[in-house]
Amino acid sequence: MSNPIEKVKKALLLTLPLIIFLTQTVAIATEATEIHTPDFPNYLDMLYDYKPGTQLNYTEYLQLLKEFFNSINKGRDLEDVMSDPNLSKLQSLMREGGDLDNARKLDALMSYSTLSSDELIQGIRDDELRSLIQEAALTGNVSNSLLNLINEMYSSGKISFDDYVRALYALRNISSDAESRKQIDSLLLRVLGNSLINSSLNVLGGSESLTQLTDQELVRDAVNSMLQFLNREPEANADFIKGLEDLLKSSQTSPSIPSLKIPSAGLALPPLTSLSIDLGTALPFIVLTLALTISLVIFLKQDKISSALARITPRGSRPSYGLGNIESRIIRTYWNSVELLRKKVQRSPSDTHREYYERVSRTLPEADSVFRNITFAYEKVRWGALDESALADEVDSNYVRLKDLVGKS
Amino acid sequence: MSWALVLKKASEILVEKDYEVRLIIASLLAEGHVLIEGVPGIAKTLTAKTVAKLLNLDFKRVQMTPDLLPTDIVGGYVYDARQGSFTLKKGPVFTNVLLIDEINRGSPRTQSALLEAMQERQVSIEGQTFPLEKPFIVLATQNPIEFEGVFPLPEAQLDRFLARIESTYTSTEGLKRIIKEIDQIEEGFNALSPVMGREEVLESIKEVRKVRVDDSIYDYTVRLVEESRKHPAVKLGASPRAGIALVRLAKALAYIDSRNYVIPDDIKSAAKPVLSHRIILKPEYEISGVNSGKVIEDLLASVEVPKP
Ligand SMILES: Nc1ncnc2c1ncn2[C@@H]1O[C@H](COP(=O)(O)OP(=O)(O)O)[C@@H](O)[C@H]1O
Ligand SMILES: [Mg+2]
Repeated sequence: MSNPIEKVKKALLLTLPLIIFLTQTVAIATEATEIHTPDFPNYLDMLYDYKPGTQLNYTEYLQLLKEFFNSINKGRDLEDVMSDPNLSKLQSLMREGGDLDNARKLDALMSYSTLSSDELIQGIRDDELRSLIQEAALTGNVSNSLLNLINEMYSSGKISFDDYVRALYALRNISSDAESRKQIDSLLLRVLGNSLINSSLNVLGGSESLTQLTDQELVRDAVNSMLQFLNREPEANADFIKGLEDLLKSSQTSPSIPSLKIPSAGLALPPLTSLSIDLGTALPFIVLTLALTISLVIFLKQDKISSALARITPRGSRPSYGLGNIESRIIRTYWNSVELLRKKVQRSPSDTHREYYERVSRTLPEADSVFRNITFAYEKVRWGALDESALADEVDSNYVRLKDLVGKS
Repeated sequence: MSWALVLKKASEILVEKDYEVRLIIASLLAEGHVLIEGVPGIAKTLTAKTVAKLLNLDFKRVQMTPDLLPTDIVGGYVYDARQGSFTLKKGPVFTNVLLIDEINRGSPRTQSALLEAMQERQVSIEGQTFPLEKPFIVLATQNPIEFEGVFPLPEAQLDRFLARIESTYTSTEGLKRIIKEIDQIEEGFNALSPVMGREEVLESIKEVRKVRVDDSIYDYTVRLVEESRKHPAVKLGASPRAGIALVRLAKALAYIDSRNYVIPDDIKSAAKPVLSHRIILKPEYEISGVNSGKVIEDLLASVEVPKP
């Protein structure tokens, strides 16, 4: 008992039931989203969100990820990276793993690299962005401030992923100056790497296959190569990466931890759509999530307690919104908005959210843009099961504006 | 894979056929077949050819006549005088997009050979089984029933079609455009180049299967199916297979709309094409002008969409 490691282990085991009980309660509570600070990833229930077993070959997937990131880390050319056959293989594994979103993003990244700047510019949907790039094409000059502006447009959600990638490739073709080309290349590589990492969290996340994988070294190597990639990012916060690495190391030495189980979460990393991403804010969540997961794994190893836990944990039956057990903030805000609007615009129970939005837009045009934002956020969260943290703030502020509008008119 | 681009390219040639094209593509991706109803001359053939060309798929057309035999569709062994033996000649059913014009003019025997091939996606010739191509979609056109000299498809067999499209005349402006721009339409079709290929279509078919369907969407579908049986004008309501077809088509519609999840609107959009040929009305209502389209509108307006 004097062994300090034993002591720590014991203390951990004693506090874990409490932690787990509390986190469960919080995750299940209807008001959970209110308690969390905005954007706080509600990942706890995702630990229980096991995906049905797919036929995906995890060994191959991890091997490819590892090799691919290692090759990027060595500083390959963008052309090289984009035309790497391994990238196409990764993409089809992502599809198999059910991550269509990121697979589509890779489509864009790979296919646009072969288009001319004219073709790229023509396909840009956002008018403002298109004219910005057209201007740059005339002068042949790609300034830093232009790149920053485009990054800003993308991270604020003004332009789509597609537009962003088109713009970057177009500028890359336009630019005659080596320095700015290099900068564009690193932006494109970052987008690519982020999609792959996000995707790996989606595909591997919550899957039990990782724990069944015998080749634990491969798991760690793949994660390490991704960490190294993040490390190359200038704005990455070195302390947190260090912390994460330490955590990885400790998981390697502890025999009681069968493997590193990466929790499902496109949100462990903030949706890397925001490019001005501050890894400092993202990594605590990763570290916390990993720590919790590892603790859980140790904890669940204890047979006796885990059977007790089974009684308080609704595993495998994560309540769906349809049952009204968990209501997300956005879904609630949507219905509150409908309640407000109903005084002005009738809603029949057989109306879909889109049909109702059409009606509101026709009869109360001043509410159009505000209610459109709320409606489509609702759609994504309610029907697409999208993580709502990225949308919640905007929806909240639109709701405030809607209250104002309806009150006035 | 840009399905929006396919729709756009098709609309540059076909006037006011967006609804038809969207449903044909969705049915292709949902691995179903389509029955197109409408009078001659409203671009049914041109629509089918345009879709096939844009997707770089093999296209064949068969004009059904009462004397057409099952082997004319499926194929068979023919005697080769030079070689002095029988050789296999595969029929037009071995293609990706098979347009059957005026299916209701074919003899019942030939119809049923075709319907069987559609269902099984394979044919047997002299006891030997041959799988059909992938993807495989039959677009069968049918004149409105009042035309003469036809063998109407048996009601039970209509179920083989995932969707039924009632194709109508264009608007007055649309008609003017067709007449005015007929040269460009024809040149446009001839110059049309594919925007994707067979592999991408197969890939999309796989992705459509993965489109997310919230549990409450199933509940909504079940309600629609059950309510269809209670409607006063209905003799025979929607079958379980109709419910399955509703969700399948809705998933494909969601996918073409660049979503990987179904919304209630997709089910609503799928309802008419999926249910209209699967609901049989009581004769007395039919005489008084009620049609299945009207019944489906009633259903959609009365069944609640899922909440919250
Ligand atoms: N909506 C339309 N858009 C474009 N062309 C049309 C349209 N309707 C008719 N046409 C013209 O009329 C021709 C006849 O159409 P076709 O496809 O043979 O009709 P169907 O197969 O319905 O009998 C087409 O080839 C086209 O030139
Ligand atoms: Mg024709």
